[in-house]
Amino acid sequence: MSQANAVRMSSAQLAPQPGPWQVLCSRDDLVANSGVVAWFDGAQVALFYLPETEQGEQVFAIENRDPKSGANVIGRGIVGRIKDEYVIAAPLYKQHFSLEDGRCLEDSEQYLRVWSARLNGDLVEIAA
Amino acid sequence: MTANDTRNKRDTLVVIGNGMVGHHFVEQFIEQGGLDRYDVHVFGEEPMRAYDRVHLSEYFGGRDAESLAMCEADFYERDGVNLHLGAQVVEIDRAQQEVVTAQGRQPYDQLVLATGSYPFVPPIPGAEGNSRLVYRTLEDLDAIRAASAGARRGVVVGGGLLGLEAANALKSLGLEAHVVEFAPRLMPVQLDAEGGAALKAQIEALGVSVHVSRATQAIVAGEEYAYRMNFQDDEFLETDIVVFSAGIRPQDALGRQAELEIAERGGVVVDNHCRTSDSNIFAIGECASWNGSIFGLVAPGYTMARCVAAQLAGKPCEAFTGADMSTKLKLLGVDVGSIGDAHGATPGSVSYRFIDEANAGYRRLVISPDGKQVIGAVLVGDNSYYDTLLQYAQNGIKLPQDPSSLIMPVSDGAPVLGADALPDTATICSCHNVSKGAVCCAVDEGCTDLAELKGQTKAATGCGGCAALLKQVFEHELTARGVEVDKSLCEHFPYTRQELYGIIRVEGIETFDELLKTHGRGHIGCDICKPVVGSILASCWNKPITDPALVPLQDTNDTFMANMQKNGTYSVVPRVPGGEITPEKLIVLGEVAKKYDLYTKITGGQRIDLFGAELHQLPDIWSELIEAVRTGHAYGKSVRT
Amino acid sequence: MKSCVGSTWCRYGVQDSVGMSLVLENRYKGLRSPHKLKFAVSGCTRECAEAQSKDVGVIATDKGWNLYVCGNGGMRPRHAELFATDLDDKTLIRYIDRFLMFYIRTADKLQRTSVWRESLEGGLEYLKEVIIDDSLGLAEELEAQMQHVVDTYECEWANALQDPEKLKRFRTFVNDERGDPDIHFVKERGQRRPARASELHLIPVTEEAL
Repeated sequence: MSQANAVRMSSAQLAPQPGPWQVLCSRDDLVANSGVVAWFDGAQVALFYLPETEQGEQVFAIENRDPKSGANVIGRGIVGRIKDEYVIAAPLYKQHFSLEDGRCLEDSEQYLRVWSARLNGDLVEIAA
Repeated sequence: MTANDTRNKRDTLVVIGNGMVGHHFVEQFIEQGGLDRYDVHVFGEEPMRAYDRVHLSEYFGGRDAESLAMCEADFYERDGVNLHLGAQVVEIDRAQQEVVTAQGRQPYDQLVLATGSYPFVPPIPGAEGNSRLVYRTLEDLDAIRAASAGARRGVVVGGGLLGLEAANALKSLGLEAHVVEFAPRLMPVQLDAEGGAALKAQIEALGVSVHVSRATQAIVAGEEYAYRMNFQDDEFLETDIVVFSAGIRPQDALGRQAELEIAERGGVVVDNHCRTSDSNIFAIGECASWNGSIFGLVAPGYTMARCVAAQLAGKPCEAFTGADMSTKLKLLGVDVGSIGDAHGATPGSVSYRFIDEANAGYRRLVISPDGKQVIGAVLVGDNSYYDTLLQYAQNGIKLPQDPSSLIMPVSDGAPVLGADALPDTATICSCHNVSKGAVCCAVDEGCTDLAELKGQTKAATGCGGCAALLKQVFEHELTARGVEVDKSLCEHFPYTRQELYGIIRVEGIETFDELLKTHGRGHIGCDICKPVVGSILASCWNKPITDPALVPLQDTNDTFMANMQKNGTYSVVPRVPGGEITPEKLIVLGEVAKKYDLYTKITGGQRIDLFGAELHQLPDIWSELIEAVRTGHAYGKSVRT
Repeated sequence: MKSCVGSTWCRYGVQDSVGMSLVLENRYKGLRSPHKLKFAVSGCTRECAEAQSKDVGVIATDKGWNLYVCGNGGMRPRHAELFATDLDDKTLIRYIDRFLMFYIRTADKLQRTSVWRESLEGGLEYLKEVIIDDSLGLAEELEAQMQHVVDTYECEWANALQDPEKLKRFRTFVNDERGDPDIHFVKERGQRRPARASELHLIPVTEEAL
C-alpha cells in the first residue's frame, strides 16, 4: 500500500496547477476497476478507480450525465482500454468516452466534463 | 379520381396453383416490382396456402401444417395479392380471357399455370380405399394417418424418391413399412445397379423391407392382414394399407380443356420463355413440358418461376433452357446423390467405382470419353463428395491427375477443389440461383460478413446444402482481396469467444486477470471482452457475479442485478417459475410495488415487472421480496421467460 | 418460462405442462449463456404457450414430449425446429442439458440460438447427431458441466443481501443520501412513469411531482 504519494490523474493539461483540492469521499467508497458516483456541489461526478495502471493506481473523475440518453448513468458503465486510452462505455447506448479528456470516441461533438482527481491517503480529492 | 384512373389502367394477372412453384413465382414477382403493373389473383385448389412438399414426411414427425407453410399467414394480404384458397379453377375461357371457378369468373390479361402434377396410380384390379392411397398433399397424409389407425403393416408401391419418403412416413406412423418396386432396383432414374443395391441394403438395415422386380397384378382380401397384393409367379405380400407412389403425371387438364398445345407424354408445351401456345398464358413447374420433358424437382420449377416473374415485371430475364436434374438428398437418413449421366449412358464414357461392402457405401464417377471431364456421379451413404463433384461436372473443370481420388475416402492431403478453381459462372446456391460471380460482386461492394452475404444474395438460405461451399468461396474471396478475416474478439484477445471458452475450461481459469495475463494483451480489457469472459466464467464455474473480482466484468444490469431503463432507474423481475404464483406471493409483490410506487406490468414471459426503482432502493426492495420470491435473472444473458 | 395450464385443468391437455416448466425453470435458472434463453412448455399441440417461438420449446404428446429448438420471436422471427419426438421426462432433460451446453460452448458472443443454428455447418442434422447420437463423444461431459451449474445455483440477490460489502455499491451517491434529482415521474392511468422532456417544465425543479 504505497498511496502516500498522491497521483495526479486527469490530463486536463491546460490547467497547469489544478486545485485547490477538495475532499469528495473516502477510498472505501470506491470499487476497484469500476465506478461509483459522488455529489459535488450540485454536480454528479462519476469516479473510476483503477488500482493497477502503468502509472500505479489512478482515479478518474468524469461527468455522470450521458448526453445521449439524458440520464445520469455514466458511473455505471464498464471501464476499458481502447487504443492506449482509458475509456468508459456508457451503459445505455454503449458509446465510449475518454476518461482522460472526456471526448466521445464515436462522436466528436460530444464531450463530458472531466475533473482532476487524486487519492490522498484514505481520501479521494477533486480539483474544480 | 386520379388514383382510380391509374387503377383502371392496371392489368390483371391470374396465377392458377399455389404449390411451391406457384408461391415462388408470386414471391419473385413481388420482388421484381411486378405489383406496380398488375393486380394479382392466385387460385389454390387446396384449403391450405403453399407448403413445403419436399419435407412432407415431417408432418408425421410432429410438424403441423402451419410450420410447413412456405410463408407467413399474412404474406399475400400484406402485399395486396388476392389469394383464393379452396377455389378450384374449372375452366379457362380464352375467348373472354377469364378463368371460371365455382364461385364465379375472374378476367385476366396474363395467366400463369402452376398446377403441378398428380400421382400416377397404375390400373390394378382391387385397388381401392385403403389399398389405393397416394402421397402428395396434406389431405393425402391425413387420409394415410386415418387409414393407419389399427394397421400393423403398410406397403408403398414405387421405390423412387417420393416412394422412399412415403415409406419414411409410414415408419413414423409406427407401421412395419415395405417398398415394392417394379424395376430391379431402387430409384432407377437416379441410381445405377450397384447404387440401388447399396441403398437397398442401407434401407433394409433401417427396418424397411424392399422388394424389387415386383409387378403388382391384383389386390385381393388378405388372410392375416386386410389385403393381399399378388405379384407374378404366385408371390404375394399381405398388408393393411397400400400407398401408391409410382410416378407423377402433369396436371394439364385445364390446358387440355383450353386447347393449349399438349405434349405427347402430357404437360402443357412451353417455349424457352415458358410461354404456351397462347401468348397470354404461361406454364411453370411440373405441369409444363419443355422440349418433351417434365421436370419433377423443385429447382427447375423455381427457375421457370423466376423467368416468368422477370418477364411480366418487365425486367431482363434469362431463357429457360432445361435444367440439371442432379440431386442430393437424405432418404430415411441415408445420403443419396446423383449427378448428370449417372448411368454412364454416354458412349465411350469411363467409370470409376468405390464399393464399401462393410457399410453398404457406394460411389461412382463417370468420365467423358476424352477422359477430361466429370459427366456423372452416383453417391450412396456419404454426400460429402457431392458439392465438389457437381462443380466439376457443371463447370467442366479439368480433372486431377488421378480422377479416382475424387471419390476415394478422404484422408489428409486428398485434393479438395479449391474455391479459386471455380469459374465465376459456377452456381453456388441452386435454390436461389446464386453464382460465384454474384458472391464476388457482393464482396467487391464491401460485404465482409457471412450473415450479411447470405442476406444480400440469399445464398444458402434455401435448403442450406451449399452453406459450406459458400463459406469457403467467401473466405477465399476475402483473402484474395487482402481482407484478413480477423476473428479476434477485441484488441485484448486474439481469440474467438469459442476459443476462449475452450481455454477457460481446459486450463481451469477462474478470473479475468488470469486469462488476460496468460492469453491476452494489455491489462484491463474493454466493454467487449469483459462481459464475454464474465459470461463464460459464469457458464463454467457459476461463482456469484457479485464477487469483487467478477463485478467489473459485468454489464450494468448484471452489476446491479436489475434492468436499467431509459431514465437510469431499474426494473425488478422476480422469478415466477412456470408463471405459477400463490396469492400470498402475489400480495408480497403488490405490497412492495405499492410501497415503492413501482409501475407494474405483466411480462410476455408470465412474470411481473416492477419499474422505476432507483439504484439505492434496490437492496431495500429485495430485502422485502426475498422471503417470497427469488431473482428472475431478467437482467442477465440467461434463462428467462 | 412460459407455460399453459396443462392437463391439470385443461380438457385438451395431455401432460402436466406447468409441472414440467417448473422442473425446467428450476433446473436452468441462473445459467449464464452467450445470449438470453427463452423457454416454453405447452400441454398439447394447440400450443397455447407458443413454444415454437422459443429457444427451447416443449410440446406435450400422448406419449411424452416433443422438443423444439432454436426458435425466436423478436426482430427476426424464426420457427423452432422439431428436434426429437415423444421423449420421456428424463430424456427430454438430458437432451436439453446437452443442447444448452453445446450452444454455450460453440456460439459466438451475443448470438441467439436461432442465429447460431443457422450458422452451424451441417445444420439440424448435425445438431441431432451431436446431441442425440453423441457423434462427438461429448454428451457425458456436457451433462456433467450442466449438473455443476445446477448444483451450484444460488440466488444472487439472496447472496448479495447477506454481504454489506456487496451492497455498498447500491448507492446513488457515495457521499450523499439524496436520490438522483434529475429523475422525474408523472402519473398516468393510476401509476407513475418517467416524465417526457416536454413535461419537465411543469415539474418544480426541486421536488418530485407525485
